[in-house]
Amino acid sequence: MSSEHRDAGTHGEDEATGARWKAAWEAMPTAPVPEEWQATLMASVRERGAASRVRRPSLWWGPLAAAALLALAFGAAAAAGINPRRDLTELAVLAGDSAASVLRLPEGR
Amino acid sequence: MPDGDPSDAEVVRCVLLGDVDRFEVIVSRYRSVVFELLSRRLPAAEVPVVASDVFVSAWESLERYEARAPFAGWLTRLALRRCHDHWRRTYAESALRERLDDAAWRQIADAAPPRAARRRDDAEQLQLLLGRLPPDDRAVLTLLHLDERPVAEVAEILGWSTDKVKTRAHRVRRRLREAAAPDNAAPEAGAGSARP
Repeated sequence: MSSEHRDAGTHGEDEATGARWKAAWEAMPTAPVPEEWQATLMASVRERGAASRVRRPSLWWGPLAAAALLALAFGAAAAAGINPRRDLTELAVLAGDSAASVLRLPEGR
Repeated sequence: MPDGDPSDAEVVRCVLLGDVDRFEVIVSRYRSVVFELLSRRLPAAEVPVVASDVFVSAWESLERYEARAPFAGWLTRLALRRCHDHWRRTYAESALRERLDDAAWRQIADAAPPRAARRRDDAEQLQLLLGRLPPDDRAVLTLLHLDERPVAEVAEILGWSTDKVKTRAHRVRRRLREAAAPDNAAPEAGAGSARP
């Protein structure tokens, strides 16, 4: 037998083996789904869901807490008779004067 | 999916908004797909365990699912990666962890010589072969040759370059051909009385 004939035969044998393996692969039986499998899986998912809700607070909590604190501060200031806008401006001016005196900046600069 | 049933994307959106129970719709829709895919790749006893692992992973990474792509494809790729991880772990833990050299490949040929293999059940022979392959070779053989997936998809599933997939596929094919070649089995035929 010539080498060409032998190669063609080997190639044909490869093809046949490949086809048989592919058929065997596609015919492999599927394992049955156990009766309680889905219920057990969902219990695990719910458990993880509850755990992640405890671990990860909503992203809204930060801004909401900051807004609540700000509202509380303004409310308390108003109750104490402080006008935040006016008094904060005065405070800024005083802070500027103090800074200027510490740095000994000449007047008018 | 019957008319009126929510699409996968809608169900996923509900789950992401906190309705964990809606995930059961996904499980009911795709459990048979996942079990079938895993049954071809794993021992039957391990299929339910890995299937659970696949769905839990899907739930945990649901935020990364892009609704434009089909959910089945996304879940299938996830399941295939889990299988590959499983075999890598098993291979690392088993006595087969040493690299299969040429002698080991000849052992595969000895275990399943072509003439005997014709009498042997094809599925049994295939399982025997797959069970002895290193995980990367096994992945290439199953995804590329048995599943007939495109090279680009195999590369994406395995996280490899397409060149690496092609090179590995070529090597696996060559070694399988050598292992199954009658010339390869002939010199040792006298050594084992069980051989035909």
